[in-house]
Amino acid sequence: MAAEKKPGIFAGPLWTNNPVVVQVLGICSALAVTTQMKPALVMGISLTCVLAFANVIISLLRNTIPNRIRIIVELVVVAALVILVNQILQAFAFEVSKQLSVYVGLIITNCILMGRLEAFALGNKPWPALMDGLGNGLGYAIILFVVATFREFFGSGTLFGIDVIARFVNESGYDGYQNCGFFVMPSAALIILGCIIWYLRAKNPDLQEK
Amino acid sequence: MELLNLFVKSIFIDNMIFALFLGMCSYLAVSKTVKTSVGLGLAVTFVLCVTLPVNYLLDTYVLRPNALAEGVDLSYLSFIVFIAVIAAIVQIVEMVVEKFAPALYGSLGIFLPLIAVNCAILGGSLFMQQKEFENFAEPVVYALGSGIGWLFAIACLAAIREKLSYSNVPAPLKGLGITFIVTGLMAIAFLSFSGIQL
Amino acid sequence: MKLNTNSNVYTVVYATVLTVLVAVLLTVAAVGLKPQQQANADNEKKQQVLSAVSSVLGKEITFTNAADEWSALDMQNNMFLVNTKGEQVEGDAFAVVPKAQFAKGVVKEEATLPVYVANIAGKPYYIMCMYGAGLWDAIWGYIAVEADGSTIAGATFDHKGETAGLGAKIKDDPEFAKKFAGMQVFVNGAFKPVAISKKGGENIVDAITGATKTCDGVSAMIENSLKGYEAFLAKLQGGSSCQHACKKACGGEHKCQHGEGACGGEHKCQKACGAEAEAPSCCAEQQACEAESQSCCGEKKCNNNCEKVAE
Repeated sequence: MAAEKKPGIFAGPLWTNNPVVVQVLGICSALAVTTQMKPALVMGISLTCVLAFANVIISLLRNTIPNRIRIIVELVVVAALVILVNQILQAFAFEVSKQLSVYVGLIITNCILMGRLEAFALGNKPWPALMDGLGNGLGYAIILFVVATFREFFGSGTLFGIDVIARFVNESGYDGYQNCGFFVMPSAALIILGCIIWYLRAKNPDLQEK
Repeated sequence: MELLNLFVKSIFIDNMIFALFLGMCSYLAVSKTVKTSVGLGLAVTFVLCVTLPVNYLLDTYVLRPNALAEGVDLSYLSFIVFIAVIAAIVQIVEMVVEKFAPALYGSLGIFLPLIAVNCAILGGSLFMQQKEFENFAEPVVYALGSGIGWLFAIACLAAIREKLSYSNVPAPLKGLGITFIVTGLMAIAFLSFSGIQL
Repeated sequence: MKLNTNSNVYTVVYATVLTVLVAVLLTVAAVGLKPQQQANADNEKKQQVLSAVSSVLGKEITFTNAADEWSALDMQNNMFLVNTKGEQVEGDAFAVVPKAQFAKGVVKEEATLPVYVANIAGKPYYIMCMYGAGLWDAIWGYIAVEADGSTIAGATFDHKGETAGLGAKIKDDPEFAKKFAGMQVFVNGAFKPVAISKKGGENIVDAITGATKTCDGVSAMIENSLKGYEAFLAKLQGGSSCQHACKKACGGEHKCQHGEGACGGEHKCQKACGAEAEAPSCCAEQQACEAESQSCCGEKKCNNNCEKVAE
């Protein structure tokens, strides 16, 4: 991994080595905040910021951290960053922060963070660590965004809160699209994610499990 | 009565896996056999039952606005305090269990370090804070219910996966993909519990 | 100098420095952002209060326009606290937390409840808070009553954890709250607020399909919350729309208590204040009778009342 070139560090996690669907990290929040696109987007951005900063900070500190309290130090750095993000969201994106509720806090225990910090930041220089953080964060954000698009469109007939179906479909005469309540339910998120993995693995047989 | 309601609700309706998606990572990774998954489930329940009441007391008497002293609002520190408490308690529990109950350590011990960063544990504390429980019994019951719900979910999935390994799943769906879809279907089944009232 | 990063001293010092650094950083951030967060919380409350009269205003109250509408209606100077006896009490109405005024789902004996008065197109609307339990968790809301103290002008609901797509519709489906407009708090003079039921009927709002328990909770919440306001609403009924105008005209609260009955304008108000009517409610109805002879006097009951006064 470390031998790869920088674009690989950044672009790899976006799709072929996606943290959510390939590395299977950070599933919890990926599912919980995807009923609508706006919170999903904010969550993706928040996680990307936290991950990038945490990666850089840990990478800078990597030679000074006492090994015995390594995990705690990582947790403290991450928790501090998450609190900052949470405070900023509450101040400037109040409505979204309410929708995200505790899931912002759960970024702390998002496995992507601990996974990347342990696997990458502790052994690499700040610049690649930043790229790795951004790449993984965005990879996570992409999945969130895709799932949220499906769920919001079919579940509420809206995209970013704009009632697309009511405005364009029903108006043009095909009246009567009933919002599919199933897509708002938690189970839909799991099944959509399962299908994304299915698609991805069908395209890329290397990822298939024996 | 309210406690019983809370208990049943936290097991079935607000199930940590099916409704709140907490602790999914270890849920997916450690659900290949029933035996290990039950071990992990028990460990999660145990740690939840220890950390949640502690965090409740901290939240009520230290962190809440005006709790420590008039005009002092430390609620912004709750994330960091909760995670620190969890990490510390997990460490202590691990040491205590290793010293005094080696047999238990043999079955639960390997899971304990995993649990410090399990979102189910931190999530439990954060939801506890959000629910604004009014007395000490409620967080205890909530922790027990949530833990059992989690154990229940992972044990069910592990049982299904054991059977699934004999079936002919399309190659791209094998492993992770089908696990997600099975979990989704289980979540639909759990939906049927919503609406019950005690 | 090569540090031994595994020594105890180093570990302790490291942990201490890290803790102090993080604590300072977070405190600075939290204190710095506090005013903005408080403003957001206030704004949300304004939005909820005003949403109860959104259909009267004819526009949706969003998080963005709530503050503007709030000041446009001069809400800051049009709110007060009432106790369960319907008397005004001192205090900051906006700062009152509805939840704290309830115990086990009903209004506490000693509660002080906020009333927000929105003056829209010359008519006052009294917005009151509600708090109760849905199927899973707390539900709350605001309900607006017209000057007659009984006719509901609008309502808004919110919840903590009702089932998405079912019980959550009390908030998410704007049609549900709209159905409350025109319903009554008092029926034939008795306290019998609007209920929610599948069966339908007089003064009943249709329940949301699949959310019977949540709707029962909303029903109970409306009844229990308005119970705390009953005395206040009865005073309104008995029945003035213009407590403020009356106060001005009469030049004193004392007189007004007898004469609150009059309605509509300063002139009538003065009259009523001057009169030492024992039964202001009859008086009010009498005046109403005079004004709208058809609608009011056509009914037997009203006639009786009016005649009694005449006697």
